[in-house]
Amino acid sequence: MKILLIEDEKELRQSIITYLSHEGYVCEVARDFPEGQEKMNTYAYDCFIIDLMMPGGNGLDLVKEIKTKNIKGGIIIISAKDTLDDRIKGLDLGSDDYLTKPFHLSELNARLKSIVRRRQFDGNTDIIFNEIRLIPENHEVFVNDARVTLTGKEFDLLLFFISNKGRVLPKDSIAEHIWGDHMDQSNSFDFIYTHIKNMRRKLVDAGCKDYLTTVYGIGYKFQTE
Amino acid sequence: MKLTAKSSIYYLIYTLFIFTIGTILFYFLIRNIIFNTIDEALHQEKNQVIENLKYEKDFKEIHNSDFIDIIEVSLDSKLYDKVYNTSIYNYEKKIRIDYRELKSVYRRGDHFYEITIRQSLTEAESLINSILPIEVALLMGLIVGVLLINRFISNKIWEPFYELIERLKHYDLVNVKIISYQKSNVDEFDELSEIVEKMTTRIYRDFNSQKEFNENSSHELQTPLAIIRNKLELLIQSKNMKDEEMVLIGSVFHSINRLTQLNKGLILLSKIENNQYYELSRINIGQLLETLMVSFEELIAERNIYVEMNITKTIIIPANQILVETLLFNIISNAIKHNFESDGKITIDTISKNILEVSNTGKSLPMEAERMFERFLKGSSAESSVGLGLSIVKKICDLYKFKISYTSESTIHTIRIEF
Repeated sequence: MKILLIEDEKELRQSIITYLSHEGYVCEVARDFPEGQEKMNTYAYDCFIIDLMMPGGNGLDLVKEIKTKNIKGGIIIISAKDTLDDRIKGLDLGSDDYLTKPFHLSELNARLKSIVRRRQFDGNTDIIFNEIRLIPENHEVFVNDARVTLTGKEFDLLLFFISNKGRVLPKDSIAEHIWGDHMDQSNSFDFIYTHIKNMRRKLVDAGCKDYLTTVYGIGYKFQTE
Repeated sequence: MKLTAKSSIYYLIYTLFIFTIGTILFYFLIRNIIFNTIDEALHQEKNQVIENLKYEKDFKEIHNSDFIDIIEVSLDSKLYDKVYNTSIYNYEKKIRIDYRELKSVYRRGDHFYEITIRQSLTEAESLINSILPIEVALLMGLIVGVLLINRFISNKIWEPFYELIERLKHYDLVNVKIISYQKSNVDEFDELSEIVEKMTTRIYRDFNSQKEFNENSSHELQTPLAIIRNKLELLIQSKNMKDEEMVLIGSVFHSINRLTQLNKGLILLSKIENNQYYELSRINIGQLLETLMVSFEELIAERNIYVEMNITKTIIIPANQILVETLLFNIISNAIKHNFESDGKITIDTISKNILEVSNTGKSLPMEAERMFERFLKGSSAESSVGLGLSIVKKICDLYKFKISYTSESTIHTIRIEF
């Protein structure tokens, strides 16, 4: 799985690469607009992560170029600008997702996975992890082929955990994933806790191994082994 | 009291004072002059009579008339002249007529004769009496004049002044920005207008640089915040971390998130200030509330809050979708956040076609109701709240000129918005 990250901020670039490399992605970077343009025209990628404001040009023009030249690959825009205009423009041009800076790496990872999944296995997008099988389109979960009924939020949580399996997920990023980021949610932590508790119980009741562990002081981790 | 009215009153008091004194003085002066003239005439008459008497033998026959009486008197005491006012009843005209009389005693040998000469005062009186109405008429004329002049002054001369006041009244930094200089024909007003222009220019400039500073600093903060957050995310993946270290990182992570939220709130505020949410659409408040409530469902269930929705009237307003969503979201979120730990209640009412009321149960407030919408003011219970929610609400309301008010009765708190 190959990804091109076009981002001018060095530190951000490094963090993203480190996180995504652990997921098994092959990450290439472009530091500015011309470099990004050159790479996307030369090599093939599964997904592009494009910053909007860069030296040398606007990321939106890259999105436009990818679409007009019919270059294969998903697109995620990452931008410090959070205006509806840009969001709509980006999505209209054919970008698959739009993330506002600052974002959680786990969030970027989850979104990236969802895009790659949609693009790679057209028709068959089931996510299988040991005895758990998720069907994202229908929000369905099966444990050992027996259906488990989860609420919408519980399903989102499970999907988020599995997308970031083996990673320590801070409570804040879980809360933000579930709630969106447009507020200060003082009571969302207890709330998240209840959701996780319910989801866990339902899975264990269906005969699933309890993969979820609490990371003291930080959040949770979905164990892989 | 208006400035011109106030100055008119002083003018009028002074005028009235001078006029009263003047009229009284004038009255006595005229009277004095008239009496002096009459007295002089009477004396001359008397001298004439005495002169004539010297050649007469029998006075009575000669000089007794309406105006001169000569009678013989026995006493020899009063040899000097006496002038005084008197009134005599006139049988023909059947009225009393005022006279000025001169009494004098004339001696001839052993005989004393009293001579009384009189002159009617009717003419003099009518002259004096005609002074008063003239004075009153003058006074009235003056008062009316002063009032008219003042009205003229206030309408004409003070016009630029009142105009300036009117402009200052409607001054705001968003729409008016600067009150520009306007020439009048009064130096003082020109000066005032010039100063106001300079002042508002400075205010606007300061406001702008303040705004720019806020904007830039929050935007510049975004990247370092993102970097710290992402590095921390990487750090916690480390396998060699002890529990205590994880707790430390956890609280740093959480603080960074609060900082990020705070910064986002500030950016949102400055965006609203800069009118960056200009796309308008017709928004159905009731419908929007119902969709919003869905995202709160679990949270409400979690805290066992009873929600009563009485959306009977349709409220439709032209506004920006994102802003109205933020507005309602923050209000509902607050109603949940500041509710009782469990078994609270939230009531959402559409009072009329443009009034929405959201009330919730909750502990009584530690601060005054008027300060509710200030930035960074927090109720003590929700310690991790950033404290921008209601000031964002206020800002949005200000932008669209919605009237928002907060009232509380012991444990019931109500937010009321008039769209």
